[in-house]
Amino acid sequence: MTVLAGWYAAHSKLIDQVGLDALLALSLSISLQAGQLALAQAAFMGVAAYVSAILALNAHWPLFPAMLAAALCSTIVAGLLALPVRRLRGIFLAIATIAFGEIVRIVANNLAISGGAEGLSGIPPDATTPWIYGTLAVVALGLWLFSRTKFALAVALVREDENAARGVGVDVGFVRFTTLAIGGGIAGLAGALYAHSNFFITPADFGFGRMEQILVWCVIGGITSPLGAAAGAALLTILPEAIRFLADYRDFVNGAILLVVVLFAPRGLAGIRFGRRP
Amino acid sequence: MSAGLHLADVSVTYGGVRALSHATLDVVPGRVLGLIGPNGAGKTTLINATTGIVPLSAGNVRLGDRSLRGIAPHRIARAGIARTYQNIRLFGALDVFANLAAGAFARPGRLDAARAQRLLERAGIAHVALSTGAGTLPYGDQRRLEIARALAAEPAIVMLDEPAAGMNPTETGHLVETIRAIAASGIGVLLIEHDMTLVRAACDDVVVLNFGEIIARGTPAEIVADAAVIEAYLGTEL
Repeated sequence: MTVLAGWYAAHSKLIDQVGLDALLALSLSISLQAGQLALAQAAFMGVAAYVSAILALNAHWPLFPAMLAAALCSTIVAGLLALPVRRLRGIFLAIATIAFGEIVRIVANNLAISGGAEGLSGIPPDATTPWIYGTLAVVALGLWLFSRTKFALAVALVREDENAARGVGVDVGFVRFTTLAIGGGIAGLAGALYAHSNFFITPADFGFGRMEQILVWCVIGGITSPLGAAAGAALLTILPEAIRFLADYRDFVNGAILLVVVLFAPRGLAGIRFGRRP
Repeated sequence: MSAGLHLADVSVTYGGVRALSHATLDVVPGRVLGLIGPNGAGKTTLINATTGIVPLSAGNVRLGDRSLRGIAPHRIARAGIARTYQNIRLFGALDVFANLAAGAFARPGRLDAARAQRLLERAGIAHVALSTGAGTLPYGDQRRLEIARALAAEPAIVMLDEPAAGMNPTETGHLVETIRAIAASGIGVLLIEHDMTLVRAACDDVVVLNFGEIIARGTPAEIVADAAVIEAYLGTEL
C-alpha cells in the first residue's frame, strides 16, 4: 500500500494530465466522427477554464457548480460558433475555427478580468484525481450511451456522405451543430478541471499548440473512435515521460514513433485493434 | 394506398441555363413511370428538384396534398420520397446492415436483422451478408443495395436513377422483376434509364425529356413509335 501511495505521489501530475488529455481527445473526437475538422477545442477549453477560475476566485464557487457553469458557457460558445461556420467544410472549416481560437486567446490576453497575458493565479487546486477520472467516466458512459442511439448513426452518415445522408432523412445541419456543441461542452469540463488542477492559467495554455496536440491524439488514436482517441491521448501524454531516459534523443524518438503509427496504422490505434482493412 | 407525386410546370435554372422547363408529370402509386432522354436532357435535374437538392425556379412539386417546394431535402425524404443515384452513393465504409439502417433512419424504431434480410430479398441480393462492407460489394450488388436502402424508408415514391447502368442482360432481366415487384407493393416508381429493353419491360408509362422539355408521353409502345422521340433520342434503328 505504501509502495502504491509512493508511486501515485510520484506520478500524480502525469496521471491527472492523462485524464484531462483523454477528455480533450473525446471532445474533438465527436466532431471528427461527424467529419468536421473543427479545431477550436483549445478555445472552448480556455473559455471554460477562465469562467470556472473567475467564479472560484471572485465568487468563491466550489468546483462542481463552477465546472458545470463553465461547461455550459463553452457549450453555448461552441453552439454560437457552429452557426456562422455551418456551410464550411474541410480545410476552410479548420482555418475558420483555428482563427476563432486565436481570437479567444487574444481576447483573454487583453482583458483585465482574465488577468491579461499573466493570466489568473491562486485558483483552488481542488480538481483531484478522483474528480478528473470521475468526470472522464461520466463522459465515457455518456458517449457509450450516445453510440447506441440513432443520432450516432446520423453522425456516421454525415461523415461518410452528407448528400446521401440528407437523402435518407438526416438533418445534416443539426448533426453538425450538435456534435460541435457537445464537443465544446466536454472540452469545457476539461478546461475547468485543468484550471482547478494547475493553480494558475494563462492565455498561452489554450493556443494553437494545445489544439495541435489534441488533433494529433485523435489522429494517432483513430479519428472515428472515441476509445482510440482517448487511448491516443494517454499514449502520447505518457510517451514523452516513458522515454525520458533517452535525454537529448527524446523528442527525436517521440517523433519517430508518431511517424511509424501514421505510416503503418493510418486508421490509428483503434484500427490496429478493432479495424478492418478498408 | 400511398400518396402520388405530382410535378406541375416545374422549371430549374442553373445560372442562365434552363435545365428543366415547365415539366409536368405524375408518379402514381403502384405504377412505374419511365423517364428517358439524351444525356443532359434534365432527367437527373428533375429528380434533384423533386428531392430538394436543387431549388425550383418555377412550378411546384406535391406529394399527395403536401407541397414540397422550398422544403429541405431531409424533410422531403422523411415525407416519403426515396431515391438512388446515377453514381452510386452508398455509405461505402459502413456495412450492408448499417446502409439499410440508414435507409430506415426516418422511420420510427430500429431496423432489425430479419427486416434487413427481407429488404435484401426484395432487392434481389439475398445472398449478401449483412456484415459485408458495402464498398466491397460487386458493382451490381451495390446498385441493388441502393435500391434496398431506398425501400428501407418505406417510401411512397422511389426514384431510380439509371439502376441498370453497368449490369449485364441477365442482371437487367432480374432488375425488371424487382422494379415490377416494388410497384406491385403500392409504391410509385420513377425510373430513369437508357436501356430501352428495360424501360419497355418495366414501365407502365414513359415521359421523354429533351433539352429540359417534355417532348412526348405515353405507353412504352407509343413512345418507341413516336417520330419526335425517334428523332431526338432513339434513332432509326429502333
